[in-house]
Amino acid sequence: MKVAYWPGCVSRGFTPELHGAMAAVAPLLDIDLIELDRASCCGAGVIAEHNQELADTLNARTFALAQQTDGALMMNICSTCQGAQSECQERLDANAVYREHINATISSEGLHYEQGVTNKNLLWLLVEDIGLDTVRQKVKRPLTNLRVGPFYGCYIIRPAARIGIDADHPRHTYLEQLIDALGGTVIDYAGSHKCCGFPIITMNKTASLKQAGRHLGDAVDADADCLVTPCPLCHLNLDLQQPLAAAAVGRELGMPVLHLPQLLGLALGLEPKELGLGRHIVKPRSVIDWSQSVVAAAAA
Amino acid sequence: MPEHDVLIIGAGLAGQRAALAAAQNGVSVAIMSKVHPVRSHSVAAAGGINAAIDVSDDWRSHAYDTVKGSDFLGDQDAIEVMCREAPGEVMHLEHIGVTFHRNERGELDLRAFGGASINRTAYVADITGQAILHVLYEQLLKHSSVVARYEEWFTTSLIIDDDGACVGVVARDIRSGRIETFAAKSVILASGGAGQCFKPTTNALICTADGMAQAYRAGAPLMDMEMIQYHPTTLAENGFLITEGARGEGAHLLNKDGERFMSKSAPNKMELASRDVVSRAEQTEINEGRGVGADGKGIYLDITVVPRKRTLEALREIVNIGKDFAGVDITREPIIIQPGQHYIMGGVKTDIDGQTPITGLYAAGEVACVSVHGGNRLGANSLLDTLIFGRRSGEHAAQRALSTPVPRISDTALRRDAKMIEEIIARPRSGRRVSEIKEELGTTMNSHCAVFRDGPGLQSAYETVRRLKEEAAHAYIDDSGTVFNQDVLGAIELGYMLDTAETIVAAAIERTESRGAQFRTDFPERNDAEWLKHINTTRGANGEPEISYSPVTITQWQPEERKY
Amino acid sequence: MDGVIVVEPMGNMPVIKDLIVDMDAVHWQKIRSVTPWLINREPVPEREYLVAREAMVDVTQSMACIQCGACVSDCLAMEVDPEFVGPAALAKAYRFVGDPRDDEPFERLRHLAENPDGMYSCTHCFKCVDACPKGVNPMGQIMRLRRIAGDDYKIEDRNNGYRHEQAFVKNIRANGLLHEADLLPDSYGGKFHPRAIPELLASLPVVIRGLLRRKITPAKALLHPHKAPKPLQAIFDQIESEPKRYELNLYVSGDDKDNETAGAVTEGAKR
Repeated sequence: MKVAYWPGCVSRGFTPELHGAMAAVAPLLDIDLIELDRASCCGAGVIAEHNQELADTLNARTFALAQQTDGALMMNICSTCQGAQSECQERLDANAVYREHINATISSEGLHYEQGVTNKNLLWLLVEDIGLDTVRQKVKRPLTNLRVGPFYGCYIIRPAARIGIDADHPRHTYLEQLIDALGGTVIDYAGSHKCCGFPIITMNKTASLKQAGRHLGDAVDADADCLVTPCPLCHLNLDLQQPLAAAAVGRELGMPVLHLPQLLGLALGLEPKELGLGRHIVKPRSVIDWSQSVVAAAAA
Repeated sequence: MPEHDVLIIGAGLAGQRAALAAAQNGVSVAIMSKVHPVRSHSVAAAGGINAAIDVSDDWRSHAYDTVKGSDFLGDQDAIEVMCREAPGEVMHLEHIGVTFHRNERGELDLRAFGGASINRTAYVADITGQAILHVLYEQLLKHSSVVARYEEWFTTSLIIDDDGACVGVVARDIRSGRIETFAAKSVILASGGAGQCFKPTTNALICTADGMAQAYRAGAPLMDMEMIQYHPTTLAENGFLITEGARGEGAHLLNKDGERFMSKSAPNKMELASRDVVSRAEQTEINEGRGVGADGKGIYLDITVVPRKRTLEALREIVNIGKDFAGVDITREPIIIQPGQHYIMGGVKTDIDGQTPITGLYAAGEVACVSVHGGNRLGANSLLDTLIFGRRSGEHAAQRALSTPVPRISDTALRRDAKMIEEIIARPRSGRRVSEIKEELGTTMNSHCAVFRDGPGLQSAYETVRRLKEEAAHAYIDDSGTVFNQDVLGAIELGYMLDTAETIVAAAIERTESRGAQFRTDFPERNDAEWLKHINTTRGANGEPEISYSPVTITQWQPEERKY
Repeated sequence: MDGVIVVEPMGNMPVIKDLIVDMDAVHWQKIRSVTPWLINREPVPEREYLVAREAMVDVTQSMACIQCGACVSDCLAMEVDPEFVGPAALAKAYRFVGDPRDDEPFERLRHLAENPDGMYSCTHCFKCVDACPKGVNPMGQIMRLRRIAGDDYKIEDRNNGYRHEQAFVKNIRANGLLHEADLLPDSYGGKFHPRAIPELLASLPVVIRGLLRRKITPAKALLHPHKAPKPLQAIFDQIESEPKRYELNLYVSGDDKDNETAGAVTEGAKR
């Protein structure tokens, strides 16, 4: 399927492996990515707390760019983008006067946002549009015996009503469903739906690092081989900052954190290197060892 | 032993307002409540507060509406005081921070309410009681250096000295189980109503008639106890209150034929007749087979006639109640309601300064009977009553304290109450459970002491209450601990409820006429010649209520036929 | 889920007995810390203060708080930072900051901004939004406190809240996409700001590891690979120069689809 693709900032900044992994995985799932290269940062909630109208205008612009493509919908690969954009969309869709005020601003670029864009994170697309049965069929290397802890990121699961979680769309369970569909073992630990702490890393560093450290520690205690997250900002705090987080909670962590497309790619048969696993701060040794053992077993 | 000039029991609107008023008079004040103050039942008052604020309104009009609403049983001197002081009180609330909704000019917006001849109800969406309660609590926090707070302390009895004056209370710290004597020059009862004597009720679990029974046991008369208000719109599922504000905003009542039946009994005011009239009309529809719902015991409240946006802004709470507890979107479809116990007009008899006949003992709010509500209270007059008479009680009690010596108290009452609690905890498990007796009391009262009453039904209720009193003396509880032992408090509350229910039924038997909320099918007419008077119940030597009468004060409005 | 409901005492508060927690020690202590009463704007009028209709509807959202403590119980920031003033108290603070009758919004905001466990310690996790049974949206109120503190009063707090926000906006205006390498130093006041140096040194090991893993390339850290297109910058300039922020408040405005007059939807009444 063809999608208007919003990769977000961080996947092209501090987590380039995410952008690469998505590009590698897309063809295997028959996802045709039309990258929105003129679009801007979603504001990550920070611009909205500075000026709501500015955040809404930036995202209306992004939505309008998506609507100009022939993609079936707009797709993102970042929990924070999903949440921040959903919040703006809620306002834009609720009030025609406001929407047209914003549209007047972006009209200078010949853009116009039509109420009701469909904007989905890759995770939602996999479960709701591609379907886990299809994904299951495409698995080349089941994640057998790989113990994976889900880490959602707040923005993609809360607030439940805005995020569209209901009985028909249990989006707060999709990561577990996906890990299971890929053949992996879901690890249940306390931090899976909690906050990584990233938003306050510059304001209250101790608290921020403690959050990351605790969740990672809980995953270690639950014997996880790795975590998987659809949020590159969570990845920054959980992986890039992990050495500091370990210091903040006073324990060894060493917990690899994978981006969602990386985990997906492994199961679809891609090699750790192709997926940029070597670019993480915490070397995903357990995952690489696992994949090598699978390859070795297959060869034997 | 803690000593205070003024000690207030109960921290709802009346209690908090009394505390703030007393503190402004330069005396030492304490306020005590069995729950955290913001859990007080005032929080449930939804629709608003009446005051003749509008330039085209006049306090006399408000007073007349109130007198008429009371079915001429209200004391007009007290009603005049309340209505005259109402605008000033509402402005005071506005100044201390209540977020009253505004009109387009930025002035207080006023909504229509039952029995009112003009829009005079100031409001905060449908959380007016909550908003005022929380703002008063903000003021208590602001003035915490002059008002001591005993939060989660349960009063077990009033202390009466040898001269018959109230000089303090005995109370138990719910958190620790410690029991203590408090000395006070003046005690103000502000402990709320008696709704839990009925099941179902709109009242919170804490509304267990504590203050009424404590005063009654101390020898104070209870007045107008037969006057029990059934609110016209309580949720059929569970008795939750659906604010009168809904009808104030324009909602209709419909029977199973889709007929606005209020046209029969109140052709002018329709759904906004006084509550006794509307509840009776509904019950008549139900009794005559025109009710709705599975059991035919409901009535449709149709809020869909109110613009949806207005409902979502001004009636937010009941939108949620409909959704959460009845599965109904009230902006899209009618909701099934029925009359349900809501308020007691009667209470501890007081004068316009909150003084009871017991020296040093005051009462204000639902626990009291001034009487401003007489046979039927108008919607949005209860918040006003609590604030006006709470303030007046606080002021008067403070003034009195300035010229009163600190009372000297023995620990007799303390020892008696401590023993009583030990005795409850030690009861063998041979009798009935406290909760069973409470359940039977509630359903009995709701069967025989409701919208329509008759002699035989009331008589059987009286006998049931007498029997339950005997059973309650041996009723057992499960928790024998000290920390947060709600069980033992429940047993004490049951005693309060039974004493109070007994006076309610006795007064209802006594009044052989129909007036306000008391409708006797065996005496269906109002009878001014014999019954334009208050019924007082006092605890007799044998423990049964003794009846006496007091006159109704009439200033400028002679009784006339009531039409809406 | 399999018909089992797990009931446990509220979080972030000490348990007294069974399900009873000490709300006074945590929840109420935090409420008391925000000067929770109106400080009247003078002169106090004889009648009511004349204020905008919308303003009173707006503060009613935080007035709707029943002080149940559910948001405090669920707060993820408080879980790691018990001193955090928390969602309920901050929503209460907005009830005054947003009240046009209050005389000291600036002082209130300055206090909350300067407090190291104040409004900039909210991690934006939305837990309180979902926990609240009354639709108070505490996190939304916190964001408004930040917006007013930063944008209306320009309160430069020692917690870098204001600078972080300014740096972020500047960063996006310049680059279109977030350029992380600039964000950190700018959040501390710029690369050469004395405040920035210890922070940058502290994060040096992270940067070195990033370089080693080719996550952060020297070119990426120093050069700006993106430039914001001109029309995008124009959007920033236009909106930032508006004399007053245009803020749609859904609590006040509702949703368009709610504006219809339902009229006689009395079909149900005739069932």
